[in-house]
Amino acid sequence: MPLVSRPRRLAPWLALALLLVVATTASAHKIMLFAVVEGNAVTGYAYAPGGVRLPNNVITVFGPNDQRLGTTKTDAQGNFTYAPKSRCDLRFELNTGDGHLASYTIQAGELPPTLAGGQTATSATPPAAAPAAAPPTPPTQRHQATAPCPGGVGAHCPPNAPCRAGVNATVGDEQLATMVDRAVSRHVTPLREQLDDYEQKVRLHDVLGGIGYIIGLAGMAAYWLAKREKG
Amino acid sequence: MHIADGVVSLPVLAAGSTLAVAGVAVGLRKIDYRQIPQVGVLTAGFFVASLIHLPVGPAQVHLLMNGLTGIVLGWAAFPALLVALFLQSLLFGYGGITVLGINTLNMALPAVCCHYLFRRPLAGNHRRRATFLIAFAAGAGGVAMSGTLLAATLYFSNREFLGVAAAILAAHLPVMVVEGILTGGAVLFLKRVQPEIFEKNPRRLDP
Repeated sequence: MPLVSRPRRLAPWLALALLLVVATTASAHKIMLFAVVEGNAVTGYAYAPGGVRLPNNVITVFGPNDQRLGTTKTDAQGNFTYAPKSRCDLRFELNTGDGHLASYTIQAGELPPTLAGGQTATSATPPAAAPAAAPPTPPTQRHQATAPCPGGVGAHCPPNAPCRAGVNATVGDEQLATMVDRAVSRHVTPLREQLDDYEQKVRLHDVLGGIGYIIGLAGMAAYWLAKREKG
Repeated sequence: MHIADGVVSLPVLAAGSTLAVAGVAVGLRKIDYRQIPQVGVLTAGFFVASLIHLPVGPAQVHLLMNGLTGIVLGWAAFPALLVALFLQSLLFGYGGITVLGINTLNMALPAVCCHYLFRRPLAGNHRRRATFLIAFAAGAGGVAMSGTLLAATLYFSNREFLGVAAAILAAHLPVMVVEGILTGGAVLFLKRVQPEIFEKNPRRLDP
């Protein structure tokens, strides 16, 4: 009967198809990009799952509508820096040419507002000029974070503190708080979005896992009942 | 439709759990070896159906599919829904472990009722429209009975009955309609591809 033998003939093909699916999904996720806005520049790194950095790779930067904005290169540690000229969505893409592709998008909202639409606010710092291993926070940010000088009173600062009386005079406590709030929310929003995506993915895995449990339980029940019927 | 941990009073919890255990025991005794795949598939269906949410005003309600589960499985709906509810509480945080029994009872008892009410009418040779309407009644009735049981559970745990029951049933009206249509479609499909599901079982399932 062809009907009886068909499943047996199908089995190797099914196994092969499954193997192919597993293989393709495994290799498609082998490299990754991460980027974050630091001051007026975007820094990031390319890596493979497990933490291996990917040095000397060209990263292409795309703007909205896949418009090519420029390129940057990862250094020996796999780090890269890119100074955007305008405030728009930036997609960093790393194509190693052997079938591996990774991309990471920086939303326009994450970039500093000083980069408003097309203005060359960063012309002072040419692309890739800032070394990737540079300290993670630009001087102005560090000043805000580590020297909570009360507004306007320069005498409160220790003599060697990196705060200037002029800055302190203009930034009040409340103003500083709103600035910090704004900066924090700007950096946290993408994380939150990423978390949402992740939650969706976990949910999907939960569904698949639950169905797997049910199939397994049904199999066990069938096994027990079959044994009982035989015995 | 899932009751959360800590809402139900202890006596109600104990009574519900006892009844659920009894139901599961009856169901396990009635499961036939050849019925296992059916039970598995419908368990998986119920497990996933709860993830399909319908927005109703401020609240969100989800599909149950206990009517269809009941028509096809009969008493086996008890163990099937117990497994599905257990996995839902573990993986999605729906319901809870301590209220597993009462949730199982609230959803599986209507399923068994649907079995006795609608199984026999469905077995005959009807026109498609009649079959669909019977199945629709089963799907909608399953949700309605579950909602009533839920309201009763909350009432016996010292809450207002009428208000809660009305709110629950009102919120589940759209679910009843959707479930009725889905159950109708599913039964029409099953009757076409596997009519024996509805023909031969009653003798085996009813002692």
